[in-house]
Amino acid sequence: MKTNFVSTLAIQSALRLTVQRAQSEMMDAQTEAVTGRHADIGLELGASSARNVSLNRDVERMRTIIDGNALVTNRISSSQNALDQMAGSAQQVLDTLISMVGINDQGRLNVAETTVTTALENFTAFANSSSNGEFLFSGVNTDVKPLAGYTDTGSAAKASFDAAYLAYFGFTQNDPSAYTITTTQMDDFLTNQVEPLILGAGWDTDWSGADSNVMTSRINSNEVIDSSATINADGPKNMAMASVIIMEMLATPLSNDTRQVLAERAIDYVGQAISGIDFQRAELGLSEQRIAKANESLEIQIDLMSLYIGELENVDVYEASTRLTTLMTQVETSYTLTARIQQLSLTNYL
Amino acid sequence: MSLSSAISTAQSILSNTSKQTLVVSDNIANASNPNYARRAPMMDNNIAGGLIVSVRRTENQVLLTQSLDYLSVSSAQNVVYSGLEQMKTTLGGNDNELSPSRYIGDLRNMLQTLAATPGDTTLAASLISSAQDVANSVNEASAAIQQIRLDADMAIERGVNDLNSLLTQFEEINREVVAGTLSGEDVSQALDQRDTLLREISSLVGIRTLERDGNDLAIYTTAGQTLFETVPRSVTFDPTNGFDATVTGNAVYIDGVPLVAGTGAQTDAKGELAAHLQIRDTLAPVYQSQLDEIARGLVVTFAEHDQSGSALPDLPGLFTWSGGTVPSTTAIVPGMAASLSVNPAVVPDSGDPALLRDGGINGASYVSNTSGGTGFSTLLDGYVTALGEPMDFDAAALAGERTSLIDYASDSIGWLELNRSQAADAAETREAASVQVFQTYSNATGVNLDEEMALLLDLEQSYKASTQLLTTIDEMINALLAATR
Repeated sequence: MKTNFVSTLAIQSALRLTVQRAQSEMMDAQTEAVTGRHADIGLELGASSARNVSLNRDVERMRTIIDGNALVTNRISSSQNALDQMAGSAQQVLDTLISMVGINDQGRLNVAETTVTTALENFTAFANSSSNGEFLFSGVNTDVKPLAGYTDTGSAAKASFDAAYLAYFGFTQNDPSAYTITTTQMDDFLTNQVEPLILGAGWDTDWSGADSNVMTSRINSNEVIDSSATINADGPKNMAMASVIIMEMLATPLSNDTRQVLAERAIDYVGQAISGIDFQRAELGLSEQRIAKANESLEIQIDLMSLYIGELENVDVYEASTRLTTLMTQVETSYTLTARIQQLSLTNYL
Repeated sequence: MSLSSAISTAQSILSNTSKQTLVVSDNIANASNPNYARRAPMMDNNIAGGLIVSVRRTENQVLLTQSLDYLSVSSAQNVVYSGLEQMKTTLGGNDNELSPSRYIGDLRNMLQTLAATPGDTTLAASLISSAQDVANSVNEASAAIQQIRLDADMAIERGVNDLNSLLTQFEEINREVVAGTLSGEDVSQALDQRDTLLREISSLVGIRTLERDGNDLAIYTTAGQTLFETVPRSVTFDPTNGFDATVTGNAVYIDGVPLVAGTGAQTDAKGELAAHLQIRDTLAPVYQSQLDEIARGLVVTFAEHDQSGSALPDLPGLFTWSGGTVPSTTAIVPGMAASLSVNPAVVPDSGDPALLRDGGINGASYVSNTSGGTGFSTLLDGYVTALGEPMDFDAAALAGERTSLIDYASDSIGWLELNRSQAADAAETREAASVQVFQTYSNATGVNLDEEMALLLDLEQSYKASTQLLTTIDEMINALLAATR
């Protein structure tokens, strides 16, 4: 038995497998050098592919949250802007009222009434502002106009007030008998008749189409914030209260003392309105700050995860291209060898 | 007397040389035939003292057995690897673009966006289409897996037919070998053919051979079933026409004993048949049950819960299936992946996408958004959270027991990639080993052209020498005749 025997077939096929494998590795190395990632990530990572896939999903999700946060931020800043304007209207009412203390001149009273009416109309317009087709202050009822206009024809709130006035005093607002209304009566009327209509149950029926629940948004994988304001809050209610009693009664033939009580009460309401609106602004500001913080932490997480994903699926491009070069040399050598070995035959020398 | 005997010796040299030349040229002709074993021309003395040429076929039974072994292991591994590769193609390329995992991730992103602006009806409609993508991808993956099982079943049927016809051919050749051996003929040609058949058989099923008197060969499988003993044994298989998750394929019976399927990604199967059985009965069904668990997870996660306080059962929400219920136990529901669909009640053509935001797909008792506000995001946000919260999965599906649906879908990819990567490694090394062993076998039994050429030179020399001998003897006889004239 020959120990060193080599069959011609073995010589011919010896380099075949090497060349075959080198060529398929060359293909992979080429892909890796160009893309910077493993040519077949699954094959390379095996069971760790699950982690890789999960990380990629998480990164995508966080990007989506950041995109969603942009929408929420947009809504909140629009709300902030509108609330700013609303607070401005309230401030205007307050200024007017303070300048009117102790003044009983009918002409100036009429001017004051008009100013307050305009202020409430402005207030109403801003309360009904919308962004992206959603009413900002409707709570979750984003498709319903939140605040009904008091000065609109057929206003339910106005009808309710008129009815309450007539029922309590027995005459209408501009009736000369209004002169007979005492300060106690006025106090009682405001507290027990008008307050329920505006600050109490009457708000939902006559004034507001909004929902008391504000919109909530998830701004992080584990944080949910309030992302809108509603008109069903103390600020807007008190603003309506102050404006309505001024519009309806300031310029009527009241006695000076009673008018004084009315004005003082109105100043009190509007003061509460301003602080209420400021409170809402502060709350939204807090939410804005939470979003900024959330985005910051999301960005950091995305960076970290991308780094880890990179470690899993990226290859060293230089290594890949060096490998490609080595493989090319190898294949070329193998070609040359094959050709030369094929030429080696005794036949050539016979 | 001695001169004429010299002539006859020279003549026998001539005839022996031409016989040897015949053998050598046969060797040269078959130099690149992998199934050819080299014939060595041997000079023997016969009883009468004359030289005769006999042909000996080089054989190496140990290497042959080893080469058959490696061949069956390597071909089984290739089948397992290509099956897993086929399963991977249902997931798409490097980024698993077509996987349920990716589409569920997209759906979660859409839910997240919609939760930020719940009143956006366009967004709600595109969320439904994203949910349809999820259902489609699960359906398609399930269909592809069943197609892979059907392909494996068909491959088994072809393999069994091949095996039966190979065994019939083997019977013929074996008879020829036995008969030839008994009558002392040269049976090298038949032996070559028999070895070739053995190689073909062993790529289908792992075999052991047993040589008996008169060069008769019996074949057994590595598991011990008799494939051939004097006559071929029957290999039977009943193909299945179509597969779904609930259909089990039939076994392959060799001599009445079922063939055992391979196990593991680095498969212990020997021969293609056992590997195809493994794909059909183990690998593909496991992946199918993972898809079924994903489908169950989707139905459970998006199920609607009773809001009316009357303890009504949970009912399918966004996703539903042919069963129309929410499975309450943690158990694989075979075939659920194939029938997963988006609830028609939320599809824009047949229903209202807003029901997903408000609840109430299954009637008023299931409404969560009682005030009807379009900015209601609690339910949507609940779905987003639920997709990331751990739930129970059936351990039998091999992709984890308690994890979130999103992670489960990724783990399923992980299971597949783990097996694929192991199978790829094993396929590479086993093929290399198989080639290596075959090369060794070929070195032991194959033809080397140069050696044959050298042999031919020898023969040429001895032919020349014997013709020279003839001439010389002729001259001597002529000289003798001339002297006696």
